[in-house]
Amino acid sequence: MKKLSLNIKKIALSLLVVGLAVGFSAFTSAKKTDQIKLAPFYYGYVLNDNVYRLISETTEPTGDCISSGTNQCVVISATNLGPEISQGTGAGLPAWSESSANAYYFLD
Amino acid sequence: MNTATMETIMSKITLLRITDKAKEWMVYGISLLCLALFAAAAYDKVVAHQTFLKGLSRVSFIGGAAIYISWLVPVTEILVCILLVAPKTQKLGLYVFTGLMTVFTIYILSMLFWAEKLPCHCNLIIEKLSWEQHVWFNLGFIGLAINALWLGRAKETSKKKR
Repeated sequence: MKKLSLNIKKIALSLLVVGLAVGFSAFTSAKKTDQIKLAPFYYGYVLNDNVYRLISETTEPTGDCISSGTNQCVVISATNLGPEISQGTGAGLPAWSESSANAYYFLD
Repeated sequence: MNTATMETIMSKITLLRITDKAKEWMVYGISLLCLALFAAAAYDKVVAHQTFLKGLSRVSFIGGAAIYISWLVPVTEILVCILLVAPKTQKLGLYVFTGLMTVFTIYILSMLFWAEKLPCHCNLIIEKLSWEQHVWFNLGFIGLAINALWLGRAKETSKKKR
């Protein structure tokens, strides 16, 4: 009886841990989604051409991106008419160079 | 050697020895850590399935199997979570956890050594870590799981001796 009660407590604690882990994960992914909702257009800096190109499902940036000077790898814009380069701030997304020199940043 | 000296030595040995109860709770604690990791990872992969699939499909040696792997991984993680929740299947859960983490680590290492371009972090368990950091993270968890299995075995051996 004692062992059964202990097993039930262990199962309950395990389920609590699962709930906490899933809840934390849901919270962090919701935070990311909100950020994307505020700024729908992303432009990726193409080092070779020294331009910003729109990053979308079908158009991915080509060439390696390493943040150079004030040029961030990814900038946000409220329109698809081109980013405001003077803003110079990324969307809080990591620069490609932080993952590796040859990494790309993919968006949903 | 007199009795008093023997008693002092025995009490020191007793202090150093981990009790069976302590071993049981250590194993349980490590299982909870592994459970939390895989529960969060499985949730992320199911909710952001498209991102995970996209990342996998960019890996050259995975190719067309990306769609199957993109479902197999979270399903296996959920299965491991179920095994770890139930005390009776915890040991099996730890074995499968260790095996799965080893596979993930081999995948990360092969990407680091042979991939021409590293894809996004979307198919890593923790996206904020770099690929290199993730290798150490995985090795840490593998070490913990192996330690838990060893402690469990040591506890069973000491029970049999009595």
